[in-house]
Amino acid sequence: MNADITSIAAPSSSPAGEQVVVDVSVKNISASDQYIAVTAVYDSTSFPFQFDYLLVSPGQTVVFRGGFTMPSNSVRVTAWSWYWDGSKWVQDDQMTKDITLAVSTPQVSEFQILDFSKV
Amino acid sequence: MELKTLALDLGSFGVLQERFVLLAPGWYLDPLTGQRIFYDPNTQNFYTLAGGVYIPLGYMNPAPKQVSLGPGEKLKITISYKYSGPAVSGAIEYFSVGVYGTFGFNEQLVGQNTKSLPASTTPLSYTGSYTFTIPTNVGADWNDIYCKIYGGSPSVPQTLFGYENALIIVGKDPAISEFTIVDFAKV
Repeated sequence: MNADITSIAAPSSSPAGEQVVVDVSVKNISASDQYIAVTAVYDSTSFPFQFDYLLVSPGQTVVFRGGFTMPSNSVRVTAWSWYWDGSKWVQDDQMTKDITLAVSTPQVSEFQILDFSKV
Repeated sequence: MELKTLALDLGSFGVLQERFVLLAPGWYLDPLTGQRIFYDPNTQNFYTLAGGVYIPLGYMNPAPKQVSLGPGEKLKITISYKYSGPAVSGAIEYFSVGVYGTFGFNEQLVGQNTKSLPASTTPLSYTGSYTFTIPTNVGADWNDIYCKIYGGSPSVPQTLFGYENALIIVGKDPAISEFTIVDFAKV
């Protein structure tokens, strides 16, 4: 293994419609510089990351930031790390994180009679 | 003279939860006033012993103006509120004209709209209105109004607001209003 996923940082719960930010930390555990990329899905839907790939020094950890809009159900985020072997991208590590749907309750505020008049 | 005592079996009591969490039918105590009130889940109203719709302390307010109306004329009431939360279908905007007193609110005219509210994480403003036609059998004391929003799926917490002495019913019974001593002076 060259590209070790050390963590997925994302909220454990989010309300529907909110933007969910996912930070995937990847460490180059090889002895040489590596081109490292990250891909990820929530359930089976892929979502983009800020960088396509990064050149990472040995022992260095980089963070790939991605995001998606929370659907109206709980999701499982799965992230994969990839490294470039000189001719093709090789899938390396994998990690998952569950994000539960935060159910908000209906709230009414500032309820008032705005006007009443003869028409 | 023979003394007779009126006995009422009110069964068991619960404490009225703040903000009208949906309840089982039965008798409840308003923790603020200690008043005994009955909850009817069909109408989603609390009723006083006298049969009027129970409106908790502080929800009825002095009207900022008075509107004069007679039979056949139309009264338009507009409400505003903010909503946040999940999408709600079938919430009810409820409007009533009637008589408010120690017995509660005696509803004489009632109207309602069904409203769908989209999901929002921040409070968004909404308005709703209803137009009543004053009937020929209007009473001179039908001068109070109250409105509320409730129900739907998922259920919106019932929220109330009312005005006392908001209307002056004219043309039905002899009525004198705004009677004052304008001045008194040595002449």
